Amino acid sequence: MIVPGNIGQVYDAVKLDTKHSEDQGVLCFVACTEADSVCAAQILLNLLQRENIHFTLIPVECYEEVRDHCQPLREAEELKTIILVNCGATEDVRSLCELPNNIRIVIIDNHRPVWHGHNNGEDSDTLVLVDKDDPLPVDEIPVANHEADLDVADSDSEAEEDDSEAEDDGEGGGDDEDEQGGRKRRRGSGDAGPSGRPAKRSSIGPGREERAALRRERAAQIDAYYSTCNGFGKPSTLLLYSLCKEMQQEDNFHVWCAIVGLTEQFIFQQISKQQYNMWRDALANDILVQQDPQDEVPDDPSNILVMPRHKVAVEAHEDLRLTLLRHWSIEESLRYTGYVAARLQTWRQKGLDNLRSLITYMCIPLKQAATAYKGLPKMFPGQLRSNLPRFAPQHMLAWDSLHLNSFLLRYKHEEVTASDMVFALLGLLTAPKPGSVARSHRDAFNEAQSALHVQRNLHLVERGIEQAKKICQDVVHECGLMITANKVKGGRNADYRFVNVADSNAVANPRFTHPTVLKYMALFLRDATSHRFSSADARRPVVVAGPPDEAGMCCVVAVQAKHISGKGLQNNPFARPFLETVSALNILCMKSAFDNTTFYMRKEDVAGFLSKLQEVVGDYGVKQQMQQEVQAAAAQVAAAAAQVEVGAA
Amino acid sequence: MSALAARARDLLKELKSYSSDTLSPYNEELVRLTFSEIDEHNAQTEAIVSEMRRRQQEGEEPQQVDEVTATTMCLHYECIKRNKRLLLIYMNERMQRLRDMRWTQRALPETQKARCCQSEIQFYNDYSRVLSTYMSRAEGVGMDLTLDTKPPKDMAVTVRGLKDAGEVVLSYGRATILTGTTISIPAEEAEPLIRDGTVELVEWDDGYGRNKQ
Repeated sequence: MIVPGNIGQVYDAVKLDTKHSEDQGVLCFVACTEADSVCAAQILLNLLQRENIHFTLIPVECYEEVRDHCQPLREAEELKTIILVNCGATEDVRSLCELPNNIRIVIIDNHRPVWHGHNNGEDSDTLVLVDKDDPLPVDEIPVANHEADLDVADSDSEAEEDDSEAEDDGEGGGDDEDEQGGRKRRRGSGDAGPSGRPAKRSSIGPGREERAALRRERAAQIDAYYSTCNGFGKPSTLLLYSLCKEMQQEDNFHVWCAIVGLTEQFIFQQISKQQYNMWRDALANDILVQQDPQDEVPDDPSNILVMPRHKVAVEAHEDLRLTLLRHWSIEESLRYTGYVAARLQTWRQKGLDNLRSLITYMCIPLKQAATAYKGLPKMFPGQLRSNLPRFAPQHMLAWDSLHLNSFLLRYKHEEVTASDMVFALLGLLTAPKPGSVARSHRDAFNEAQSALHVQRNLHLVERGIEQAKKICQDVVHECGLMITANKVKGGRNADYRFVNVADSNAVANPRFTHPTVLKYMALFLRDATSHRFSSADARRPVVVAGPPDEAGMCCVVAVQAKHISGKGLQNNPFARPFLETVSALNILCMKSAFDNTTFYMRKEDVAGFLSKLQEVVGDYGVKQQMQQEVQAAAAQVAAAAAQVEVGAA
Repeated sequence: MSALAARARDLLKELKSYSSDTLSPYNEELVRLTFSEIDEHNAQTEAIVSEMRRRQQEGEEPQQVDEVTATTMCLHYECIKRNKRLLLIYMNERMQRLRDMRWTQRALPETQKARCCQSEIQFYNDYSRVLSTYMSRAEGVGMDLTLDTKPPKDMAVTVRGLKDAGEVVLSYGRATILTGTTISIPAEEAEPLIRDGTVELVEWDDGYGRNKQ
């Protein structure tokens, strides 16, 4: 069942369940690749702790891991609640993990599309939380209708049978099947059970055509849903934060968690700027309410001696969108900010000269620009702020993309902006560590979680920031090299561009095995390659295949072509082509990620995957064109018919 | 006297070589030798002082103490102080370990008892009695304080797995302890797990600004 908004009710139900059951623990699984999950998990645990509900939190990386941990629950008879954070919405978790019905599953996930099987009003044991202001509104999700799905699946298998009789290669059947949504097919191999068929065969009658039409409509609806709604919804932290507010547990800490989760989704272009601003304004209001009037220390510029703060203060702040500016030097921050680096091509000497010219225009001596930002006299940061809007456009940089209404956390002498915190958490999450893979990702998650508690673990934040700097530097340098060495395939008019990191010098860099770093890299590559072409619409989606990790697994990620504005979903067009390619090549999926545009495969399969993907995407282009033509023709026919009708009248 | 205070240092080294929850055998011999070293220093200092007094009484001019004598006296004095400090550290550390044993193991194990000297056993017995009285219902707080290594703030504590201990049965149900998983369990059940190193206590800020620095 999809629960819109009233998250408090769900929470009360969970509480009631734990009280009535012998097994009173709540099991929480958290996807461990994103900062949003870290913050969401922290809010959730704090809430559970304050209600004295016992919990077990397990950071997981893929569905296989969830399934393994669920193994002991299969035979259990007590009522139990499982909470899934940032995983589970896109799949049928219950059958995937073979969970019995006495286990209630609560899903708080920002991945879209929500599996339409979840949209079943009668199933109160699987609850998916989707807020009313989600980029993918609840009423767009097709209603689960098991019979209809069976019908569709059956008709496909019938069609397949007919086809295979007609032509031996069975290509047509494959196509048909693709049309009804690759996602569903992978999941529901048991859907098309042969048991129901004889009855259906016998019911040939006048209703058959109607049913066929209904079937087609249903298939088209589901097809459209799974091909246009791949992306990200409202950050899970915001959902949990609204629960916090309902429980009257909101405080500075929880607001900060919500801010970090929101900022991450914006940085990774998973939500639009409008959505970001809408949610940001709400949080800014909450901060004003939270603020303790006694805490306010008037910022006196004449006072040289700034006393350290012993309380953490969070405030709204209009910030420059320069990565880790406060913890770097002006020059380096500009040089390694994705947007600036892509525009000015700062990995080349020419770009660097251009950058230095910008700094000089802003009246900042190069020597000062190269020293740590924290140690600069106040005059220079002021100059950066006041002169950047004026001189950035002269250097092909849009001021709009260089500033953002964000938040700032002050503690002792440290100032950490929301984006700094996101990068610090990602730095900790993606820091390469030797040793067992399963263990290291859980440890990394725990470290990131500890880093949220800045009063105790400021050193962890600093360490994360150092790691994040390395990520930014590596991405700019390695991507620069790839572009110069023509490793990025796909030219001006290609459907998409792709790169295999294993072909480049970055193959030995263990950082690039992490999907989040790959996504950051893909976003950068997308911008950097598009600026090499003069035409305005040179942006293309980018697919990046990572280098193999210790176990020989490679991660492939894709990003959409544009950051779309408005209230809609940032649709990633690669979810289905990926699945189709994988099923066409029979690639064995060892690790299924929670995001449907992230794929893990063995390193031997990557080259084949990338070449097949081109064919599949090419087919898509042709198909789309055909569809458009058909639609245009249908529109013409309809118009003609209307004219005829008008004439007749 | 090859090296100054070498014996007392050996004494401490010996104690350090034992892990923090066991005692080294009380080394009476070295303690006695250290005392005799102190006596020796003391005797030498007294000899110098009496020599000076003698000169004063003989009516010689109260002259300035020459540098050599002054340095010698200082050195002897510092040696005495250092030896004393090392001996005190030795005693204090042993006492601390005895106290810890009372808190963590509740009774003095026989093997450790054999390593104590008489006064240490006496100290342990006294300490144990005082603590028991304090925890008793009749005269004290009426709670077993040795159950917790740290005073609990809440009914449940949050712990993090340090090794794969598998499934454990707790009062509220079952839980699986794996490396890197975070679990909240009742404080008194967490205690033995924390002690044997299966889990560690997680300490979180209770919201920014609430906990005092």
